[in-house]
Amino acid sequence: MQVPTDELLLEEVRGGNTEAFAALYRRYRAPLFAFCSRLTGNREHAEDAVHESFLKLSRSADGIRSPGALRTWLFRVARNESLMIRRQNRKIVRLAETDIDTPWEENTPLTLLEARDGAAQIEYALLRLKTEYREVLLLREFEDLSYAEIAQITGSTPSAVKARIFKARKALAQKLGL
Amino acid sequence: MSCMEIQEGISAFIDDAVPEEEAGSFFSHIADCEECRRFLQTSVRMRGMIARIPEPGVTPHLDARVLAIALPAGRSGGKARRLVSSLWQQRLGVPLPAVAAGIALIVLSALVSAWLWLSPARAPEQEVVYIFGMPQIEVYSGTHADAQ
Ligand SMILES: [Zn+2]
Repeated sequence: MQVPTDELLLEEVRGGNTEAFAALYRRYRAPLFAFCSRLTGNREHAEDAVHESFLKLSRSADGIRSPGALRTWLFRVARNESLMIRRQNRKIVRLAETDIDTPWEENTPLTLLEARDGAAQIEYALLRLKTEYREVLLLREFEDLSYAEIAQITGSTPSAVKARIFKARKALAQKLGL
Repeated sequence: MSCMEIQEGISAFIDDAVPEEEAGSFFSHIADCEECRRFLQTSVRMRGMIARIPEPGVTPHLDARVLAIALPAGRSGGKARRLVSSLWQQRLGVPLPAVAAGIALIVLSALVSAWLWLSPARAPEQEVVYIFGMPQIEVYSGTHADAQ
């Protein structure tokens, strides 16, 4: 059976077809949720970010100028939602005057006690990277996106993405003690 | 080129963002540079480690939330019509105008047949010959042969 393209499904969503909307959600939920989860370091925030992204898709499907690049559009919206939710969360933490060590604190040495096996260790190290490093590395390593696509998602340029990914790798190696 | 520039190039190379011919200069450099060689090994090793991170599963709660989103319906009639047309083309493998023309032809033939059938000038002739005349002849002939 022929798999409908993003373009065709988006066209159906524009016409109010809920099944096409569900098909697009099923297609992208896992990679988007994983990306938001790793970007925010929080499953609940990731859920909110993915939900908001699809809410935006439902409301502004007509405004997507390039339906062929829906994947990039979804990742850009999910990334922006994740960062906004994270900022709001940090404000709440500050208002509450708590002393919680948020996982995106920069230059925090990797605590090996909290990261016993290899996968947990690198996941933890990724969370300790600067957001601007973490997001590009996640998009490159997990989504296999090109520098041009990552630039579109993060509102940057391919040459800046190239430089940022390099710095991200240097920083990650340092946090892992490699 | 400095070691930092070489390493940035190596980083782009493992991301398939550097043409092979350009990569040649990096490899001639790392043959003599311990630091840059180490960066390449570390980057490849980290990629392997990242690949082993398990994917977080989507919860049924998120599914329920997203699938409950109501779409604003019927906001683009023109586009919806074009979509119906494209779906016809995809599922039947026949363009919509051809399907419409076919249906029109069938309806037209039916109308013409009906008109011919009900036409007073032709009806008696057809009635006698094809409906009442022929079967009766055959039936009598068969019965007669059996009787003999
Ligand atoms: Zn070097």
